[in-house]
Amino acid sequence: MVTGTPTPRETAPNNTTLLTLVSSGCPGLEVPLTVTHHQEVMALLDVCGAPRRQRPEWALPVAGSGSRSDPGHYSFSLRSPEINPYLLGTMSGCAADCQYWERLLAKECRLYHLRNGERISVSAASKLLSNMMCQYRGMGLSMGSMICGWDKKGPGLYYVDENGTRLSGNMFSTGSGNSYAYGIMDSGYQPNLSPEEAYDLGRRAIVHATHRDSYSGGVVNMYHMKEDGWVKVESTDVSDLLHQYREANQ
Amino acid sequence: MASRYDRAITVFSPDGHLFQVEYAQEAVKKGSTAVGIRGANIVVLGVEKKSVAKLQDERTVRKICALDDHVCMAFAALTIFIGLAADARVVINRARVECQSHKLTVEDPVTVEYITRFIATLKQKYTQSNGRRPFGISALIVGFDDDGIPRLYQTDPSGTYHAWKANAIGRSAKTVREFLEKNYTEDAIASDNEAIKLAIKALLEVVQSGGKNIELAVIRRHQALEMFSAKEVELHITEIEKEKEKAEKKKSKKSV
Repeated sequence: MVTGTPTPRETAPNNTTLLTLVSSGCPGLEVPLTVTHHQEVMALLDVCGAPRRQRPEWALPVAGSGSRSDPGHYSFSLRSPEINPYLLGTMSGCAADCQYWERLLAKECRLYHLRNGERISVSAASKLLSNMMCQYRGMGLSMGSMICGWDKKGPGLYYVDENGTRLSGNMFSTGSGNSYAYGIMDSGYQPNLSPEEAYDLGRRAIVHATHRDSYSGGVVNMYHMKEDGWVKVESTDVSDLLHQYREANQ
Repeated sequence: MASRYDRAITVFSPDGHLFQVEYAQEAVKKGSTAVGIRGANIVVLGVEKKSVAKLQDERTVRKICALDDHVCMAFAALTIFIGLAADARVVINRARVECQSHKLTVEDPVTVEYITRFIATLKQKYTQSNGRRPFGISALIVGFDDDGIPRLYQTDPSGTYHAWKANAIGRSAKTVREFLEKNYTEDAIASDNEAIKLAIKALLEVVQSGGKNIELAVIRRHQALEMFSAKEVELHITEIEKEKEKAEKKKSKKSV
């Protein structure tokens, strides 16, 4: 089922906002991943209902923080987080760095699979990326990434950044609008969210973040990470959603 | 004819031999016998211990080495190298470093197959570079992977490796292997004790009886490596001998 090359990337018009939101809360061991991803704002909400080994059910909203609001960075929108059919790697920060290192990571993951006869674990994939970052520490790379996938040990989510920081967790948010997203995610999160609820939480987090953060806007791309790979749930425009929420309030 | 083609390792002979590698395999055949058995829930390694000189400190003569053990003591890789002991030391060290390196880069302990492949690749490199001779060692590598499946691999100086259910290397390996082929049954390896006894019996085919002459180590699933003391080996040997006596008595009764 695993292919050698990542699936073709989606093209989007310039300045499209992509929101990354990963959430899963259903008893069917699913990890919905909503990807909202824009230049600077990226939120990755990961809410896992599936118990990971002995751990109690956990939720992970992850929001991406962008290139630390540096206007000098190329504003780019071609950001597809797919590494391979069972691994997603969202990226925020410098566009060139993101593209390059993620593609390199995809290559390493494929080589691992070929050499060892089994898929690379999420832990190992994130560690490979983190090691690459450590090598270039201090040389001006800018990248904030969330590696999400499903391996033998269940669902996994790791945050990796250009300093080489690698954190395992239930919920992260990266990008320049991450604080706004965190606010929504933290207040809306409950253990055992259903996929629908998780999608909604993710959508809201991204929409509100993009509303307030000047560097964000555009489209919400939602991915759901399941045991046999990710599925792309939707790609919705942020402004439409904002109107929806406003009207609902009234 | 052979002498012309065994100088430089990288040279093939006209009939396709790499003589240096074959000579290395001969060196292995001079080493002490070792046997490895893959049980249902246990892996056993046994080595013939050659008699130690009077003044030599026995404890320093160890043929079985641990390559790594899992954080939760659920996995360990044991290996025996037969052949040139000095070569073995070098390879063991490289393997140990690789085990840790792998943990560092990939956050997971090595699988038995991975470390075997690493050792085999290392050996192969030395068969294809000039100025170096191959390692004169064969190895039996045992352990459990994270998934709890027991494994036994054998490597040889040419750099090939294979998985085995039971195997022997070193002096008289052929005799021991024949014994194993006859006696390795599902029943024989079903219990830990039986597997251990099978290993000892196999070694006793070619080794003098006695706890002093056999070095034994086992790994049970989810447990750390266990080296047997001479006394413990003796206990198993006495059990084996009792069973033999019983079997003979039965035979003699039947014939009468």
